[in-house]
Amino acid sequence: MLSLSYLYAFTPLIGLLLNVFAQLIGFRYIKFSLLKSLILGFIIGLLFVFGAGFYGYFALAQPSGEFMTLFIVNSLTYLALSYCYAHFINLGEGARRIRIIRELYKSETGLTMGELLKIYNGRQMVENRINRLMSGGQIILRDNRYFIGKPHMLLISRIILLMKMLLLGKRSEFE
Amino acid sequence: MEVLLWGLTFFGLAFIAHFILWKIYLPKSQIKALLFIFLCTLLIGLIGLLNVKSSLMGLSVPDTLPEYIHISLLYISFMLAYIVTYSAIEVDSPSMVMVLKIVNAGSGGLDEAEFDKTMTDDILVKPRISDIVTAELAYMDGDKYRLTPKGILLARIFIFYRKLMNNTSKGG
Repeated sequence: MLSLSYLYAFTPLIGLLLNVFAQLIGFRYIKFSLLKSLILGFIIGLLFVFGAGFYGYFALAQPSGEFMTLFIVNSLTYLALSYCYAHFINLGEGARRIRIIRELYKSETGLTMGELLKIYNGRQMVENRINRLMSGGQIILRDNRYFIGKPHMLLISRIILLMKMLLLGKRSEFE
Repeated sequence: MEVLLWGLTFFGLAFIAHFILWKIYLPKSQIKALLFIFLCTLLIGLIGLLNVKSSLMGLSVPDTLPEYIHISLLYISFMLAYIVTYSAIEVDSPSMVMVLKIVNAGSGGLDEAEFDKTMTDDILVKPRISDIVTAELAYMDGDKYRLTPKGILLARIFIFYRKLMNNTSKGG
């Protein structure tokens, strides 16, 4: 019974491994978009976490109170770990600092500020982000003017802004 | 139930400690300070639980090693999720800045040309190059930026993972 307790404790980690594996397969071989591959990985891992929980309840006749707690704890842990993995993928794809580091890595003799800005600059960065936001429907371009589309990104931005003001007492790093 | 309660209690206590500290003094390296606060809270909390016989403040105390592992995993996953989110609090995310600029422009929308004018290298790229130097991921060699061993390691991790995914987009 004790070894089963260990297995339950590590269920979210096994779920995360399955998530990573499925995401890689989805992106590399099935040629899903990044978002779709992340969703695929998340669902596969979640099914495992749920499956392990239900197995304990139905097959091993776990008490319902214990089952509910384990179910909630493992689901929350898995959600948090999946969020971290999605963030890691997003860092590799969208983070400015990682892109700059990758450009510096490619150059054997280093790069001046001017050289760096030729390879990666604000214009290019804005273009990348505008394209991502428009393809996701978060913003819309109409008659050369930008409008808010789907409100998800706006909601996230407002939450982050609120936390910025709460913790740092300012709305922007440039204030 | 103890696993959930203690995991969340420790996380809540660490968040309160972080909030109070940030109001007194904002650390130069915020992510490192957060890691320190959260890991210390977990360590102190677990040691505290080990020294309590049966219950603390009406909450029963875990008594097996798997329960302690479970609390730690729940706590660490929440800690990591908070720290990765904190990076967007510490540094302005361009996508969020864009969305907020558009919404602040009102119902008439934001003019494309006007928007482009505000998005300059001085705001978007140069501060991040400075961050890389401050975090000792790169250093100045004359007028050139070069990676430190820590920077090379970080670059290799992301380059390896992008190769593993066969991701050919430039990113950024």
